[in-house]
Amino acid sequence: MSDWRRIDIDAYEPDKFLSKEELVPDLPETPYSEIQKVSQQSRTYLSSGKFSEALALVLDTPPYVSDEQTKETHTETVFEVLCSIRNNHQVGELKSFIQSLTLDQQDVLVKYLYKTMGKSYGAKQGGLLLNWFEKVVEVSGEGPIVRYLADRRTV
Amino acid sequence: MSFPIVYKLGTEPIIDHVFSSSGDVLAITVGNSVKLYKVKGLSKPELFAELKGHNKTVTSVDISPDGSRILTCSQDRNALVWEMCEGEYKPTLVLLRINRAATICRWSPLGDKFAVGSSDRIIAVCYYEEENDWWVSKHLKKPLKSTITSLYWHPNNVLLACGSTDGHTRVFSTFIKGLDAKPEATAWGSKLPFQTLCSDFVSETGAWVHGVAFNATGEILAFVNHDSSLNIVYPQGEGLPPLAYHLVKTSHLPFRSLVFVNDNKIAAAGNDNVLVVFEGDQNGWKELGPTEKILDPIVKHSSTLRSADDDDDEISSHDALNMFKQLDLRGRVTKTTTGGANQSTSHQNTITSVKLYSLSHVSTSGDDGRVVVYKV
Repeated sequence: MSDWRRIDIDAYEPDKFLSKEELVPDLPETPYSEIQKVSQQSRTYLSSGKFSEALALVLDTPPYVSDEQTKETHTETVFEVLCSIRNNHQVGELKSFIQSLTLDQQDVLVKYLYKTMGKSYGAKQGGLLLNWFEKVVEVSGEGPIVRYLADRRTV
Repeated sequence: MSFPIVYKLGTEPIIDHVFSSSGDVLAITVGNSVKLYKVKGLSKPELFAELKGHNKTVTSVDISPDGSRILTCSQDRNALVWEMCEGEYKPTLVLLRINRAATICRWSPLGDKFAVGSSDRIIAVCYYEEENDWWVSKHLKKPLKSTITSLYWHPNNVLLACGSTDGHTRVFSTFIKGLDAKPEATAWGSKLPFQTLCSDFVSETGAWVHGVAFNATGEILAFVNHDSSLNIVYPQGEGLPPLAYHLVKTSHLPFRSLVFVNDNKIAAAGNDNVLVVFEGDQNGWKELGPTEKILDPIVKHSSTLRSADDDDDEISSHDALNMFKQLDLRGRVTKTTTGGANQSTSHQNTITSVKLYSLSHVSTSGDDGRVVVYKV
């Protein structure tokens, strides 16, 4: 019994075991078509210079319950908006964008910053993401980071 | 007396603490035992008893409302009730029937029963059976599927709020036939046979629940979870959605414990080492901010940090840690960093439990081995 720590003790009480399905947040599923619409809408905003509107839109519509494809598409949309804003503004101006967001939107922004940092396209723009991250934490403190770690509504 | 009062009780973490209702006795968990201190009218707490009966870490301690019994529970899957007998505390084992660690124990407001939460996904509601001369338990099982992290009794001695790691905060009935008088109907429900689930709340993030609390009348329920926010619920009645549900997001690290100071004030504390006060009513709640300033520990704040704790000759754990950091960074130890507090707050590490001390004071214990009484 040298490896007693590795015994799966939950296997002995299967009926009480909390399943993964029970931890899925109780929210309606987001269809792929909706995310595509958001993506197009945000591009329209960006091309007409409505940066704040684009940012608020993509942060208001995270697909929490959906398939991987949908989540990935939305991540790319958010990334596009973040790049576009940064490329058209100074670093110092990012702060005013973040201040115009609600607390909920700031939380979602941090979730996407972490997610995009893990992607290959995000890694190439690491400096840009860190600019955003620094400014969010400056405005909102550590709360959104904790919520990113604890939230079951993953992006 | 000036507040906050800081009691330094060694270097081991304190998971739970409790003052007796008269304020004379302070009980803290230290490793596998519980230490009892006399505190009233003394400048330094005086150790007068150590309760040794568990063989794993003690996770919770509570003193009965009349002060005559002390309840402890531990990771060794047992709970003990300690009573004074011929000048010594003698333990009685409780028949918990759980297979995993007990995480929390609390006396009911009348002191005739108590609840023990466990990681066996069970809450054992225990009461004294005279015929057998033994503390027996009834289990609250359904629909619990995860570790119970916190418990709080409703003042009517029947309803019990519990928080668990699946993110649910539930209110159960613990009505025991033959022991409890039939409770009057409350906003939580009217028919209350044992194990009735009266309410079930999940915060929007669904994060671990760390602490739950009722207000003094049991008409408001609040809970904190691992997402650094505070949830407050005003129930409307059986089967109805709550009258009001408020969520206060903060920029702090997660809160571990909370308590109602009065119906319009809540004190919560946790990984930020500081007590945070919230204020509000049914229409909304807001954060009033921390009771102490949080200064960056890396920047030197000599005037505030060199507090009057030089009477401690023993080197504390954070001083030791600091010493090694200095050695690592500079290869030598500078005199200024040994002795004195490291942080600007009264607690130097995570606050693990928050309790009401009096109508305007709150006591806290932390992983730094300190118990602090704050004025709020």
